Amino acid sequence: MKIYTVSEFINVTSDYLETGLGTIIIQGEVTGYRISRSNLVYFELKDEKSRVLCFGLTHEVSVSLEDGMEIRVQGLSKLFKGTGGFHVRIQEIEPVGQGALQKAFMLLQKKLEKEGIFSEQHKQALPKFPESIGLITSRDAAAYKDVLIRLDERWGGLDISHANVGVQGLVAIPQIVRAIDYFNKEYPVDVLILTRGGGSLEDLQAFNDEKVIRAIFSSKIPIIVGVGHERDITLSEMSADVRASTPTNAAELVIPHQRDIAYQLEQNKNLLVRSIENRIIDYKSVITQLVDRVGVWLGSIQQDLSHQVHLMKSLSPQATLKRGYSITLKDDKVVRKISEVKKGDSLTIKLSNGEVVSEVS
Amino acid sequence: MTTKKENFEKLFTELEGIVSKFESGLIELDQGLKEFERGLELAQVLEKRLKEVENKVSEIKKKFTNPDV
Repeated sequence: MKIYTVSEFINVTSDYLETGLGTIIIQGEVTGYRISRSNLVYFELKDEKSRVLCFGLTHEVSVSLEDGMEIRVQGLSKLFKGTGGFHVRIQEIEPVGQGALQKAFMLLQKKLEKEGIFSEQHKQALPKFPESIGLITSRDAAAYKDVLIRLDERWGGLDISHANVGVQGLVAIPQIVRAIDYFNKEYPVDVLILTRGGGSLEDLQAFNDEKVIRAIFSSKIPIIVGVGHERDITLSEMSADVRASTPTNAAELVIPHQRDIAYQLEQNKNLLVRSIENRIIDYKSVITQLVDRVGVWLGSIQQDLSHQVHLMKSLSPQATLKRGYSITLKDDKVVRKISEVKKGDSLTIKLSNGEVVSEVS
Repeated sequence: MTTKKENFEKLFTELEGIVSKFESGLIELDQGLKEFERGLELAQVLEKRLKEVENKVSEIKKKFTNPDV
């Protein structure tokens, strides 16, 4: 008989359990939940009679847990290499029942809120007129048709690329994550829409899954998430750049209606024409004002001139003569004083309309 | 003339810029006439783009449902 070393025995047994049983799903209540060395998750799953240890890494366990929650663990049966302890190596966890789902939802919401995943400051603005849209949803979902119909009603010439993924239950998680990743890394589009119709918390599990939420949060392409009816709120929507209340609403938020833009263009054209007309009217009135002002100025100059002419006229020697004064000249020089003349001098006296020649006696 | 391939958003933003200049009144008449003509041209190009009706839908070939691809 073969003699094993301890490590050989543990290896063989572990492999035997793993391959022999394959992937198993166990349902039970969480107890003794703890995280050690910041990334190792341990808890036991129990029912009335038994308990079994479960182990995984924090980044693989995307459901937030708490003691007392009813869950399903999908995983492999294994032994720890060091201690030989039996455990279930966790692959996926699914909360069971409304209570557990609600609990998981609240725990995860609290955790992500602390990290700022939902905070407004991380939200990107959507392009106003996207030309390419990545649509992430199931081809079989009503949401797929709803979005396309509403987009067709609103805008033409869009390039819509559809990534067909599951949107129901846990299987959808890796598919949605891969699709978001694919658009971001290999298939650039202007905006992403992730959507599905309404459902129970159980139906919407993928949209409350940490991996999906983080993929949405990390998307460099702006992303709209719209799930179900108005009343269904998932953490995915809260982490999106824009939340839509329904698939149809997502289409409405992603692109404006042609009709509204046509109206806006018409308004813009009218405004341009009006303001250029007003501008011309403004210039016209400035010119009219200028012409008026020049007229007033010219008038005042004219008045001024005629006043001057009048003044000059009234001051002329001729005007003085007309009033009865006369000028006495001796040898063509004006006589101002009596001492300038003597007896026998011939004087010329200028009157307004002629001259008198006289002799001093 | 502006080609069809130019980004709608870019043209629309340019038009809005011109319109807001006119609204603010901060524009000279000679410059204004140039901008006015550009504005009307943009509006026409954009209106033409609005008349497109067909959206193109293409299916991405990559299979997201299969983890190995």
